[in-house]
Amino acid sequence: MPTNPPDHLNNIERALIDKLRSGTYKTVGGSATAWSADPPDVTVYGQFPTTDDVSYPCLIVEMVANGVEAQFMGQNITKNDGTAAKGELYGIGFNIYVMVDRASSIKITNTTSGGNIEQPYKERRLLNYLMLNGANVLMDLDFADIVKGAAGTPAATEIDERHFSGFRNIGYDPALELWTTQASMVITFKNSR
Amino acid sequence: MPGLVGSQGVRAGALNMGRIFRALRYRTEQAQYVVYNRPTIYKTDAYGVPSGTVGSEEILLPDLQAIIRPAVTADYQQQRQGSNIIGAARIYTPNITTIKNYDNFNQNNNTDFNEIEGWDKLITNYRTVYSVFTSGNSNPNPEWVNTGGNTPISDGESILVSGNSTAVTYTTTGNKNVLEADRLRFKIKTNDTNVVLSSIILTNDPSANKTLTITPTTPALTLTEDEWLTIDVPYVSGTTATSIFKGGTRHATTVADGGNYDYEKDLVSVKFNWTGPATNADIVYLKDVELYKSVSWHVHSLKDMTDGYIIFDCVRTQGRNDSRRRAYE
Repeated sequence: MPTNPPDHLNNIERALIDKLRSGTYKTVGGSATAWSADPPDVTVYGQFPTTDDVSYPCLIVEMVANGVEAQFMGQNITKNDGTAAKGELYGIGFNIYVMVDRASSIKITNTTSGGNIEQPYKERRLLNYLMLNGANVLMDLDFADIVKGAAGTPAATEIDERHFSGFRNIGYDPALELWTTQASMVITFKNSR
Repeated sequence: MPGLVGSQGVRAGALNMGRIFRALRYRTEQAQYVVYNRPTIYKTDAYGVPSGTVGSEEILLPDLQAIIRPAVTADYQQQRQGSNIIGAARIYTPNITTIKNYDNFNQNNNTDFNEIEGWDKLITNYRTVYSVFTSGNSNPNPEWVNTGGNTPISDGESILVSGNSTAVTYTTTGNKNVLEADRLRFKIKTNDTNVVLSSIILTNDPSANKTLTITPTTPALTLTEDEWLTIDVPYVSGTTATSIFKGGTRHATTVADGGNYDYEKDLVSVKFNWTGPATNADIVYLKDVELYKSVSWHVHSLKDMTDGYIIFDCVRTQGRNDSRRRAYE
């Protein structure tokens, strides 16, 4: 049975799902959350859910590609802690979908001059909110856990770059009564072994 | 509006749709009484997005006659969308004038109902999961036990609770698995106008007696005199509010999980509570109590509307997989 084999694709996919579930992004001197994780305001799936399993609003993370980004002489790389390893820069591409149905609603509190106002966000307004805050979470993705090789992630994964290409195909599907959109993201990491 | 058949030269004779529904219902399950449902409609803000202010309350009206002809009842193939159309059916209902003559659908009583529109839901009984026994009451060890008043008896069809009883409890024999069920339906009436239905309490998990309480709130739900009132409410986790309609009036109804009600556990009992019976004068009747698995058909298009019938093409966009529900919960 292999011990501590490289498992970077699973490490990154799970980190991405965990961070989106938390809805947490960085602010000056701290962090904030865009939606509650427990009970979840937003359901995050790692693949397209079955029809009996789906719950809206949802984010679906779908890996669509991966492959070598750049190779180095002799396949030699240096890990962040200075130790030598074999490997290359490897890229992983994700599509991230946002879906909102007619019954979806998240309560958001806005501070106004008249005090705090709690408002339900629905339909297009909710989709807009999920797009921007989903993007915020993706911009601030913190891979510290998997870099350190925390509990549950036996092999450390070192992230090199991330590229978020923005949302497109924003629209409403009348056949299914869903407001949907799609974003792409590429993450490169050291495929150390 | 003349229909397609009428404009093609040969005019079909007037159809007695009531008779067709009745004949099909007695012989097959193609014709049934379905539940018409339109979710709550919220007012929109200045940007066209629904706000939190209710514009039109949920409509949930049982006892709509319909013939259901499924083309596909369930399609388990997965496609690249979180949701998917997994069934298609053609559904026939009586003409709109007939529908509007039903008490609940009568626009004089219920101004919110105008006609059946796109994406309204027709909830059908896919399978009765558990049917409560009302054609008798065993002696000794009765299934139906009264709180106050007289021991419940049966007229062969319904259970009669008399005296000044304020509740009746049905206890299952050997506890019953009802995981597949997602709706509770029953019919209730009384012989006077004193009795107010106050709550229905389902108990499960034989070891812990966990409860699910369905409570009609405002206005108080006074039972109808000598006329069956059909009540059809959701039996699913996460439901906090629903509706009971009587004579077109909505009675807001809460569904409260009294102690982590566990849908995987067996059903132990169903209790009906009411207030106001006059001593030795009022009788409460109950029948057709069942927990069933439903299929929710959503109106996709209106094919034909004649003076005899209406044809809707409907789709399913969601369904449940009971094996996974048991495995995952």
